[in-house]
Amino acid sequence: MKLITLAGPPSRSLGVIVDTQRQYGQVATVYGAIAIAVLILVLVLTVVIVVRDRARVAGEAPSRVHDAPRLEAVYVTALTGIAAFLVIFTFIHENKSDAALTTHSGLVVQVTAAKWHWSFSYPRYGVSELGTDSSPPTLYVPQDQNVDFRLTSIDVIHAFWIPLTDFKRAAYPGYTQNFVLSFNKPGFVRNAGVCAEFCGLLHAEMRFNLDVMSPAQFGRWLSSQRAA
Amino acid sequence: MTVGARVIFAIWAAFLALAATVEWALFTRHTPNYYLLVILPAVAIGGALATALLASPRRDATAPARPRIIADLSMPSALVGIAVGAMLWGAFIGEWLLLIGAGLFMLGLGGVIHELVETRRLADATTQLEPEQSENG
Amino acid sequence: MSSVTITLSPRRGLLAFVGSTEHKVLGARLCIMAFGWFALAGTLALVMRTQLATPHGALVGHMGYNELFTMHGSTMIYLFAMPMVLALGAYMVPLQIGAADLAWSRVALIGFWMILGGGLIMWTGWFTVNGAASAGWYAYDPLSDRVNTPGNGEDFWIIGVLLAAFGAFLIAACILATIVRKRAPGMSMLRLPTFTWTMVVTCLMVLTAFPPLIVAMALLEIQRAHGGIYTVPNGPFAYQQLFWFFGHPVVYIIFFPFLGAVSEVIATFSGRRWFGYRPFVFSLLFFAAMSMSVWGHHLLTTGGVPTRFFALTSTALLIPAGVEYFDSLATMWRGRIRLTVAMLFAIGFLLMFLVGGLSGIWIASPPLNYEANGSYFIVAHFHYTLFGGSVFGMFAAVYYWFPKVTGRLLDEGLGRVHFVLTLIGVNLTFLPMFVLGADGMPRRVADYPASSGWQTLNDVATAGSYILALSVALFLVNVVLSLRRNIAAGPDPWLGQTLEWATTSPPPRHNFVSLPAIRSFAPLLDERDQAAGQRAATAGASELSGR
Repeated sequence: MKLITLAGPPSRSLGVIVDTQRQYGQVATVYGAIAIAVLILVLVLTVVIVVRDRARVAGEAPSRVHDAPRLEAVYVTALTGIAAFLVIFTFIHENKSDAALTTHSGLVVQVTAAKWHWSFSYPRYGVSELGTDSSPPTLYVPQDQNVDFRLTSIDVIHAFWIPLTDFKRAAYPGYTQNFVLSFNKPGFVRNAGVCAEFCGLLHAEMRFNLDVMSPAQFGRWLSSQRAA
Repeated sequence: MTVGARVIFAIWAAFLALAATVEWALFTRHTPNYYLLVILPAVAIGGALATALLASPRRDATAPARPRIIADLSMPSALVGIAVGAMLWGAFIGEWLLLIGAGLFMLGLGGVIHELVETRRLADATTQLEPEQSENG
Repeated sequence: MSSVTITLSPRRGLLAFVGSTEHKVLGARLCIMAFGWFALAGTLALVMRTQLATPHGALVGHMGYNELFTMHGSTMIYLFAMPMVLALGAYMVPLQIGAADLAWSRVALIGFWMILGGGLIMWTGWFTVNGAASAGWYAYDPLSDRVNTPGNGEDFWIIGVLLAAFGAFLIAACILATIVRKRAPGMSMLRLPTFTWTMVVTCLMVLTAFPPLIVAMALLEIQRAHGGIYTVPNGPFAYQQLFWFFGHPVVYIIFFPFLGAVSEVIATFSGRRWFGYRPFVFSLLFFAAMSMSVWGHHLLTTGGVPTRFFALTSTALLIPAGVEYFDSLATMWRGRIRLTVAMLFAIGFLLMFLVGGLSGIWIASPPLNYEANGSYFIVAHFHYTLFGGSVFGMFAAVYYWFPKVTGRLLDEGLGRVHFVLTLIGVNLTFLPMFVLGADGMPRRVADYPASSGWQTLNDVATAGSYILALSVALFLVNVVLSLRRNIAAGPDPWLGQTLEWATTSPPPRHNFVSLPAIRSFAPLLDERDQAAGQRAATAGASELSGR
């Protein structure tokens, strides 16, 4: 899915498909192709010019032409066209990912970031997942359902990031962010989530696991938690 | 036609205003951006006006010829720079450094003023010595 | 320039280092200081890379690592890159526009001491009980308040940044005033050399972007000492806005002058006039103004900024950037290219910055930014712009102007080795970081899980950073050897095109004994062209073309 997929560790290959990931993949493919084409074009042009026009003994005098307004105008128009294409292409995909991110229905999960741990609670069920000192918490979500995240922080600015979803959002103290993700492939991923905004001493250790369960499994997990 | 510095400020202000207008017309009127984006061109236009009024090179051309005195060394200026640091640092290190810094600052400031007065005196003296000197810079 | 100048005091020795107001001493002093900070901050980076060579590295703890990257970033931006830019401007702008000195040179001197003082105060943080500042180079509130980052190190950092920013502001004002007021007769704004033009836009940006930083820092310190500033609703977000309103322009401030230096190098070593001067100037102004309105792309994942507006302005930057590339390549096209070390670094600048620029367009797109923000992808991106761009540009400038400043030529053989090592080092260090970031490695971590599979790429990056250190050491060796070998450069070793090559190396106190006629932005090239035209005319040839 990703343009760059070198050195992917086995635990990550489970894959979690959410809509933000789909938009990322589509935009990345187009942007990546254009970027690599431009890079190769400039590289080749530079090498060709340097090799061809390198001064040799008794070489020709350099060209005296020092502007080409019409050519440059055409070029600027082309650049503007490329920029316009990229912006519109981005807007189209941003609209799609925004639509998915704001479909507020389904399971509500309250995510609270604190120095330096995450906690997840499911307010409708009175269930909380905190993790322990030695092991990070796990975010349990049902497969193929919209999960309505309510993200906040109790101290400094953090950022909620599950790299597999290609999505992150900053968490501010005293303010709640709202976004919806839906996870389409089941599986457990260790250290799937990290904090992406530097938040002090143990920022590097602020992680969580992700467990995408079938709805039936998820229901069983919820009731076992409520019983406990 | 020669393009003066004023034109540059004006183009700069126009481009900044363009960004502010695009944001205002096509996107959300988002308060912080709006403040920052509007203040900018305003400041730039102010700069353009100030340059137009104060920094016109023509004023120099019509001014009476005066030799330029260039000070090569200005220890008081260095002292001012160091003193500002000392004062700020003193706010945390202790009052003694703040006071020393303030003292140095006054000393440096006095020195700079003395230099400026001295420069002017020298310039006057030189003008009297060589009245035909002209300036073109 | 006046024919009467009275020197108030002698200007050599230690006293001159402390108190000289001459623009060349000021420039050299800033340059040496900046390079010192560059070496120190680079050393911090080496320690960080060593820490990351293994998962759960044990070289420095989490706290130590946080201090290291905070001080590395702050030192590189505030104490190396900004002063280096101003050093080039203070030294070269008066020479390029045929002026005898910098305007308000006392103010510039005050500025230098504020930057140096600020740097020293910032670095004394290492000796405080809680260690140096550790809240990152953008010190977001509330992380940077007294509860979350106790100790005087952070206070010293704030006043250090305040002083350095204020000093830089003063020097930039002096350079801009010099350009506005002290141009030689005939030097109209549209005859300014390309480097001086980049300094014009740089100074305009400093003057508009630094006041918000100074305000943000002053408020941050008040917040630390007394509270009540950023504790209002959305206060932390307000700080982010103020900071990035400075923080984005500053990366262009430390890019444009190097672009200008590279444009001079490319024109000179292609034996051609810079191609498309007017579109270049116009696009520079557009570039600078647009880059004042893209700061929100640092905040795309906050949910608090109009993402589409910032995606639009950020992506639009590819238009002026594309014009710069067009002009660079068109200048080399059908030129007579001399591959000196300066030219190699200039070409390296174009190619390495392109990687940074293209990845910049990538992260300007919100759906891509949601992934890349806060990850190593960003670290890779901005190091390609700042090391691949600015540092390559700096070395191009140093190899180009070293003979003018010292009167000695730098050794080309060692220089070539230096270039190759730098090129290899940069790509080994920063290319793997794109992959690491895309794979989910967050930035600013002292530690990563062994199961992540990131060690190989981190080791490549660490090896690259050691090669970079070696290349910088080699450069210093080159400087020392070349100074000792003492091969006189003469006034114009490169067949330069701009006024600084019309005087001795190093230039005399008042820079010029006489100035050539200034009819374009490349007066020395005009003279040579005219002479060649006359020779051709007398020889009966009809090679008169162009202007």
